[in-house]
Amino acid sequence: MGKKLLWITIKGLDKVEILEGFGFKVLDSGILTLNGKMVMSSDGTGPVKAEEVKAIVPGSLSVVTDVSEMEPIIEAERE
Amino acid sequence: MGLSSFFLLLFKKWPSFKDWLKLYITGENGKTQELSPDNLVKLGDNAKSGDINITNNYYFVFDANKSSKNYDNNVKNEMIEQIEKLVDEYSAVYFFDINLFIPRNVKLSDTQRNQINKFKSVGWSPDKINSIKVAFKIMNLEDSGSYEDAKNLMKSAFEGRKRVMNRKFYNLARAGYLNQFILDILTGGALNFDDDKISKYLDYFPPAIFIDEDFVSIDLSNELAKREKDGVKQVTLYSRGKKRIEIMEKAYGEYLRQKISQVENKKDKRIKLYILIHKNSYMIGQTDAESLALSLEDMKLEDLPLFFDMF
Repeated sequence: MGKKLLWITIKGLDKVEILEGFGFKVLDSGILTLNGKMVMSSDGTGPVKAEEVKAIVPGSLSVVTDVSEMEPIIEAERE
Repeated sequence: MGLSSFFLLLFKKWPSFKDWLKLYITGENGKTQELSPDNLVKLGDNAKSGDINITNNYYFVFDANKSSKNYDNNVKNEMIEQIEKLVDEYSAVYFFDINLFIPRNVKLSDTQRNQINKFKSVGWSPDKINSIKVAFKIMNLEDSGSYEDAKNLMKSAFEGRKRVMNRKFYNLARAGYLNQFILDILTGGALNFDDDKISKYLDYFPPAIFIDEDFVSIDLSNELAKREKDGVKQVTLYSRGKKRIEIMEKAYGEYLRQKISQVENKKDKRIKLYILIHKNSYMIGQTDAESLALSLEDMKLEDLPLFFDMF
């Protein structure tokens, strides 16, 4: 079995507030940056808008924008 | 910081957030349990001893009440900072879309796994493979009667950045075309099903047209005209849900009327069009579905079967 991850979500807080708490910056255009660099989705596509973010996953705070991008994470947990 | 320290920290911070922040674990079927300080100690112990079974089928929910008079912004910031550390250190996933959790508890069948391996073996890209896995999982939920989860997973899959690909692979899988691809690959057609070919199929798949809600009559006429030009003999239309079935039947009726009007004033009155050869009504989960199998025929207008009265 792979390493089990704790899956966490917060209700009652604004998405941008959480993203900023993680260290991301949301530009006026809605585009997400981290440490001054444009954030890419976990599959390497980008740029990513805050509204498109569905999850933040391990690996230098990778951002997931589609449920299909979770499959490698789920597989790694199972292996 | 590991999971053990995280739970310990929550235990220590309990007095500073207990009035405005509730902690829950939610499992399969939406079963939710509010956590007490004792639970946090137990979770911390479990994590320390390597027994983090609690994370297998559960997720952790922080429910913050910002309007509480005891709400503490600093504590909130500290919580998020600690969660960020967990994610960064490969111990946690933070998710905004609650439906992302659904596929974690859905298994693929052996046949589906074998199919995926076959698609990988002919070089299909990882994003396509992941999209097919989600499509299979939606189908498995539908076929096992977990309609609510199927609906929610479908909602997530059809509104993300890969919504177009997810929807197309779901349609192809549901209509049985992925099984057909496997047969073709196994019978030596691997080169015909490489990654480029399947990318082209996602843009234009001659044997089938899947009807969406925003589909209009003119779309169907254009799609059928394109296939007629390409010499595609058989085309099947698929729709799901009463509204889409209505859209499909209306669009096909308009296609027929348009075709007939084009030849009515011609001398020979010959007409080339896709005629209905079989209509199939069935259920996908709890939803009505319908397919219309069409065949391209060249005939005299007077020989046109009367089926078009149906549309």
